[in-house]
Amino acid sequence: MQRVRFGAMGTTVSVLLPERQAEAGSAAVRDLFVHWEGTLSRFLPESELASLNRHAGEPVAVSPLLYEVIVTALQAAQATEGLYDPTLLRHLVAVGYDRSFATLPPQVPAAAGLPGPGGGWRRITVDHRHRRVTLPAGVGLDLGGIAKGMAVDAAVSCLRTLGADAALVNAGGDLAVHGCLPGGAAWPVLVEGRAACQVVLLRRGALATSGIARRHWQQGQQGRHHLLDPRTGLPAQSGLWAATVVAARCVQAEVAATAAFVLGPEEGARFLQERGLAGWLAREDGLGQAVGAWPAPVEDA
Amino acid sequence: MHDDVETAPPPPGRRGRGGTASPGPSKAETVRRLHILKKRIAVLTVLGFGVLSGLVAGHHVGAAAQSKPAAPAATTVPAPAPSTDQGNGFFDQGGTSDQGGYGYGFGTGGVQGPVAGSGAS
Repeated sequence: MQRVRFGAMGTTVSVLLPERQAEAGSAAVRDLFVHWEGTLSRFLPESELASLNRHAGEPVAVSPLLYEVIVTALQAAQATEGLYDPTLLRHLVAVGYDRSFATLPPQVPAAAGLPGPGGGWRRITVDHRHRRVTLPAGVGLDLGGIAKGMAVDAAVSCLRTLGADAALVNAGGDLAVHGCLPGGAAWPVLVEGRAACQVVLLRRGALATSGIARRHWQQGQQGRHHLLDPRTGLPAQSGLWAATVVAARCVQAEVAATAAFVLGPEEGARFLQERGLAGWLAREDGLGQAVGAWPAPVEDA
Repeated sequence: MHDDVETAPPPPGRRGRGGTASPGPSKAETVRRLHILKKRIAVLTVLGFGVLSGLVAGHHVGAAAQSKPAAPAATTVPAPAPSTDQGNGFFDQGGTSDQGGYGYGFGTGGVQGPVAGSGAS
């Protein structure tokens, strides 16, 4: 197997393929991520998403890709009863996350004002026939997490179409697999916890983690991170350090991990169980909790 | 000597040698037959009423049984599936790997080392 890495969508994308398929396969995945980032980044002023956000309050005809991601995001918001909310752009900016994380200083000025709870997604109108989207005035979309999960799914699907025998695509912890390692082995994936790490063998599906290990900063006297609770519009304080979820598709794992993180250990576990998902909830106190069909660790890293 | 000879009446419809028409059943015979017919009608009426009453009663019992509220705490009745994703199917897993769906699945056994890290997005 051969690994190819490149930067896209604000993270490092890693593609693992059989050697003879690595060059063509990784090039296709790179093209896909470049296209998705150029369309869906909220940080690129020329992106289609940035343009849509600037035209909130009026109907805008959008490309098939942006349309697909917005519709999926609205489905996810509905499926989580708003625990996943794609309309928290103003809230993220208000708590200081107003540029790509790579360029965000560790200390940002105190907030001038906070927007309050989210839920703007409920007032978005979509004209399916003409592929037009109308954002409510004052509402902006941040599709970062869900777009990354969908991109991983699309990349794996692309590799499957190209005839790859096996593949793993990992975009900063949002990953999906196709096929098996040589010899029919499952894919060993390192899952980080606050106190200890573990390795799980992923045979099929996808895995995503939402956590505060990396994207956190200081705003005035307040510690901030990027996982906002839509019920308050502020960084979630749920007692969790990270939520890792395994699902059939990466977009499902990504959305479920975000919702579980916002809910916290008890309600988050219930949320995952009710949906037939497996997960690992790493608490801030260092303890961890397996949910659903999450396997016993095969190795302590 | 005089013999009491009771001559049987000729059968109905049978004409006498003289070509005269038979007189038909007597009034008494007709009354007797009507009486028998009345009895049979009465019996059939009673029987029909009984059958219909039984059917009506059975229908009421069945309807009452169907409308009877479910017994509380019936442990054998499966609970409805929880509303997991507001009906839009976003989290549909298509069955886990053990069920043959596309779903997700875990492997077992030892490993050489991880090929990927979960990170945290």
